[in-house]
Amino acid sequence: MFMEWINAARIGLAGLSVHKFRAALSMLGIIFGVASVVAVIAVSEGARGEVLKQLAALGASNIMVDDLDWKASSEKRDLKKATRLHSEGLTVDEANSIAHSCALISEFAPLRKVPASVRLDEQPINAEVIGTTPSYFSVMGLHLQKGRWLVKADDDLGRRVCVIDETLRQEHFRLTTAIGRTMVIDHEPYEIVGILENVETSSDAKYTVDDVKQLNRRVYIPLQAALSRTTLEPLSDEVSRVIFQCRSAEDVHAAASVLNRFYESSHNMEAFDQRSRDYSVSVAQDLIKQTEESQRIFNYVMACSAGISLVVGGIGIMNIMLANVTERRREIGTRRAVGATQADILRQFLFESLSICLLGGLLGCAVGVGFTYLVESSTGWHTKIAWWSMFAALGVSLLDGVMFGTYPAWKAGKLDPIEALRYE
Amino acid sequence: MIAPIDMSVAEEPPEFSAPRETIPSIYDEVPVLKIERLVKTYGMEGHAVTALNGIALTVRRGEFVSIMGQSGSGKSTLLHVLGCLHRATSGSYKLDGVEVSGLDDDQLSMLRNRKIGFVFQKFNLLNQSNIVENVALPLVYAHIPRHERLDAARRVLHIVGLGDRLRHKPAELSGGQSQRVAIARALVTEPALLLADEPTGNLDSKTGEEIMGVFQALHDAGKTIVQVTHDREKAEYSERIIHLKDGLIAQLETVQKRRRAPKVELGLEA
Repeated sequence: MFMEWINAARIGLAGLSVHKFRAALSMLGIIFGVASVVAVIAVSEGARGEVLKQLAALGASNIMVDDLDWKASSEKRDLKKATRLHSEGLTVDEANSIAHSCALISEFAPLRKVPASVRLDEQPINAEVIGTTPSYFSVMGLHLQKGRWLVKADDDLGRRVCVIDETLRQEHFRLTTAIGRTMVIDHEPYEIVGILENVETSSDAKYTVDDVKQLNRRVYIPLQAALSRTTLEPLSDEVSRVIFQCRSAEDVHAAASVLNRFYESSHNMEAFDQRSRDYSVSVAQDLIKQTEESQRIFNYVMACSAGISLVVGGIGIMNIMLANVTERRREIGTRRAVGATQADILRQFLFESLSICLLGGLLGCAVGVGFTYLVESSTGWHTKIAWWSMFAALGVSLLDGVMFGTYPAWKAGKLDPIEALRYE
Repeated sequence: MIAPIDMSVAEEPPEFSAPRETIPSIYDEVPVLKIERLVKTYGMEGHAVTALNGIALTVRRGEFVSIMGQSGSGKSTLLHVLGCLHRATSGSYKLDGVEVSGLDDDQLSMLRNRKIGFVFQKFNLLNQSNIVENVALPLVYAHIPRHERLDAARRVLHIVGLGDRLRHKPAELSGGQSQRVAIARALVTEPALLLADEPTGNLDSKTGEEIMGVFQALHDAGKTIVQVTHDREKAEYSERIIHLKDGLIAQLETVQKRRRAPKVELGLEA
């Protein structure tokens, strides 16, 4: 049995070498099919890796409660606007009380985005100013590069200090020390006391999840400084985001529902419809799940189109194999005359189509890898070659060989030896 | 002149064990070929065309027989039935003691592989393989390991005088050499019967004579050969001629003045 297959493989490969060009042509369909599968999955896996990395930067056990901008959309806008104006938004006290009452939550960090201009040496700088508490450092899992992070005393004493990140340091303090220098934030001087390492995200805006669009290029100042920076702002206790950290990542959803209920009652949501909601609760894990879900759909679509291209490739193989069988009838007749059984002939031609497909699949993998690198180097997209995609594509192309090679091979085996010998 | 059709006894020993070179007593010999009441019809019921209409024929070990006839006489059909490429519609066919009628396709393949060596008019060599691989082809289907079958092929190629061209491909050989390769391929399994279908049909007369010389040398060495030809001259190289007409044996002729081809030395002793 084993011997027969060895012989069939040998004969099949020899048969392939007779019409090298034709075999190569019939392989093209498989090559491009497999190459497209490998390349597309590499690109999409790369994209997914980037997104996941960014989401991981948000923290797997973190829940984000965001202040929502009010969107005027309904006919009762005046009433709603009035309601909203009376809402206090998210406050630190609110966050503090829930963090202390809910056992699932270990820590929280309020964030206030300050729409302020930043100047250094009288030159405006493109940076985002964030007012936050010392807990932000541990909640977000940040790392210091130099100096120190904000401390409680900064808040208590109303110090005007700030911490910048590596991106800003590289841009503005390439040749000088940053620590000790002064930045001017809306006409108030802030001393730089520390430099943070960059949060690992993609520099590429294409993949960026909204939430992590600007994790870098930030200036952190003490929350009290941010809140008391100007007396002109109403509701000065309001923050734009509170990040709650759970004790464990498994509790995130339980904690999120607690938070939802808390905010629902404290913001008096029962009295108003959903459109007047002024907060949103989101879980980093859910964002990851959403990404994975959309990724999965994308993969299904890709698998379908790749499958279609492989079927088309398979039809090409069948076409060539049928031509092969017709053209080599004399050979088939001769083999039959010297003792080949129908099964021997079937095996021979099946092996031929299988080796076309396998070779095409291997070449397709190589082309796919090459194409992936080409894409990466020419567009700068992040790619990640998935080994499983290669095995899957090879498997499908082998399946192709069996599916579309069986009929021609069967036809070859069934040829009447005399008819075959008579063929000119 | 009517030659004896069948002189063997009805009861045949089941196994033939005597060496082929020695011609044993006619009474305990298993004929290489023995057909009785052989009928072959083509086509559907009702429109059947009868190609062979009840033929009886015996070829004994070591004979060199020619089958002649006009086209349409049934000689090709007879060749195909003898070569186990077609099954007879009815009648009995014993090849080297084995009853062929009633065997299935795989068994026929095995029989062709073990008992018959084919020599075709158009050589039917595989162009992509060299001549050693061509000659070894039947051994592939006998499941002989590769190095053994290539060794055997080389040995037989030496016998037919092509020992110095082992690396050549069929396209690099002359017609006569190609037919020698084909003969080597037919011999490599040491079959009971060598079946030749117009073996000189594609060769000029000089080369044809040379191939006939090869056949005569093989015959002298004890091989059993049946050739189909329409060429009277080529038939006269054999011992007997069977004339077919309309699916029946019209005449069994013993060649009186046998032609002798120039002596061909076979490397049988080598």
